[in-house]
Amino acid sequence: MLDILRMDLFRMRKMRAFFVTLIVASLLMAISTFTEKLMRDAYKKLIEEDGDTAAVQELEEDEDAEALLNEDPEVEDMSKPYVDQIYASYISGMFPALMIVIFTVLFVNADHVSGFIKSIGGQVRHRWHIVVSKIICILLYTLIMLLFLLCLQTVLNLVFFGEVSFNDTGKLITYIMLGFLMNGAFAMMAAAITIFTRSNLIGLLVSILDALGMFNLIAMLVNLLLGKADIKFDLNKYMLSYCINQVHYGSTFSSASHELIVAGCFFAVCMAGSLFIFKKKDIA
Amino acid sequence: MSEYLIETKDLTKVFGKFKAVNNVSMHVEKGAIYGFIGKNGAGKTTFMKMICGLSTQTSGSITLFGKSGAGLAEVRRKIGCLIESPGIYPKLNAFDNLKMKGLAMGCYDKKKAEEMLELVGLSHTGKKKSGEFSLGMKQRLGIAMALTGDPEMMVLDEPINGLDPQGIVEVRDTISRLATERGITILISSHILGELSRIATHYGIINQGQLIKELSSDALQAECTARLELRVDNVQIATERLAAANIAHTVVGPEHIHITSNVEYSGEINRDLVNHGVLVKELAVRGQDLEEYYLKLTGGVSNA
Repeated sequence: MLDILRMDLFRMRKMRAFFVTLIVASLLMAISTFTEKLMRDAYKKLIEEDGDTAAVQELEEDEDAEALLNEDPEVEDMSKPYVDQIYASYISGMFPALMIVIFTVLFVNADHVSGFIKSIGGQVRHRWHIVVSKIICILLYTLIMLLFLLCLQTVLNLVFFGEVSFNDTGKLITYIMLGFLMNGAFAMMAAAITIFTRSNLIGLLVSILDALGMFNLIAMLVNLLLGKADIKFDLNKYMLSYCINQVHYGSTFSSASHELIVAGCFFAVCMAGSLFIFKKKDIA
Repeated sequence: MSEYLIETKDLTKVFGKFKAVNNVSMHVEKGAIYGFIGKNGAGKTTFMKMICGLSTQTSGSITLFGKSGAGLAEVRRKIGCLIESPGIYPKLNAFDNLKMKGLAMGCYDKKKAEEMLELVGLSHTGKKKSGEFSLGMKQRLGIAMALTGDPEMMVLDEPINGLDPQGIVEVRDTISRLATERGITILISSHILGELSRIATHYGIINQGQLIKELSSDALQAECTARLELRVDNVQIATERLAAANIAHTVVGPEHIHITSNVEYSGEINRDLVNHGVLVKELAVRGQDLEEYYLKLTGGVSNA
């Protein structure tokens, strides 16, 4: 098992997609941060033009207002460009998830596409080692992506805003952990689709459509039809991509328990399915 | 432990209603170079995939190194595979591909990987991506990868397919060296029967999923006994003389006769026929080659 993992880690480092997806995610983050700066500048300018700086100052110093900003994830604190808040806003935007699933599909299927699987598939003691090793690599990649983007956000804040400040490191750590679990489950789903179909195209198509929320539209349609039949059921609540969107900066493990359970179920089912299919299906 | 490294019993693989491999019972002795012959779609690759653990059988059993069932996973590590095209990462160079295989097998050793590249003549390729290699180079890299982990047996499916004459000689020599110098048992399939006959010590002939013949090269030689081919002006008198001398023969054309016994007395036969007024236009001793033998067995055109 460790041997296969060592090989997969070496392969991951050698894959161009590993770096390309990180670079694309970084570029998008830079654009996002730049947009944030423009918005903040415009906001400040607007306030200054209104001559209501005193009110802004008052708002910034008002403890109740600050509490509201911290508690309600939808309300972004415009007073200071906090690294953690801008970072969380970017991560929630599904772009990193998109990059993670693109890498996942390419990584999982690379040995089938190249035929390399024929060189090792018969020689491993247990076929499940191959699947588990890939999943460990994907989870590691997810973590690398989240941590790398946090470091980058810190640098970008310094570049665009000239300062680096964190609002709440406790919340940030919780958010990264939640983000890791949710995105990890999403990557697992993409891996499972790819293992089932052995097709990059299908794997990418389904995963990207899901990341872009296309299946949420289908879920809404199903909800509508169920509603017409007097059945009150919200399918969206059980869609992984929807659940990822529901996890915000400020969410805690208890407040996001439903989302975590859905993600856990997705992970377990996809993992079990992948192991079963990979064991039963001919490798080549 | 069995005397055979590979022993299958009634091995069968069914895809839907199609029996790709039908009750194949194969026996490969230790140290043998076993030539596996059959037309396209005869079931060679499917059989080899089952041996390598890439595909599971529908029924029947496989015994490798005397182990079967759950024990197969352990001994399959002793087998190096090259099935169809070489399984390599085209974006990686030859060394990195070997490193990947070495890491997966838990036996990565930089020096050994370099030796392997030297053995197959790819030590000069440096950082060149393996996707840019010629077909022959890719096949040799595939062989080097199959050799990683010091296998005791190699399963090579069409390793010389698509190679130019130079490439064929290189790969053939490499395979021969592996068998003689390292004592590796080799199961090899090839379309090029002439090449196969130069290295194989045993043969298995498969047709429509069934193993129709299994024999050693000595047995093959005995079965492909030389014959005397005659071209005469009067077949009738010639056959009367041959029958009188109790010599087995077949008339194969208006002027052609094949003699299958007493071949060593070609001079005496010729003199007797001439003495009885038969003009011998041509006389030649010819042996049946592997291809002819194969065609005779399968009753088809050459598409092995």
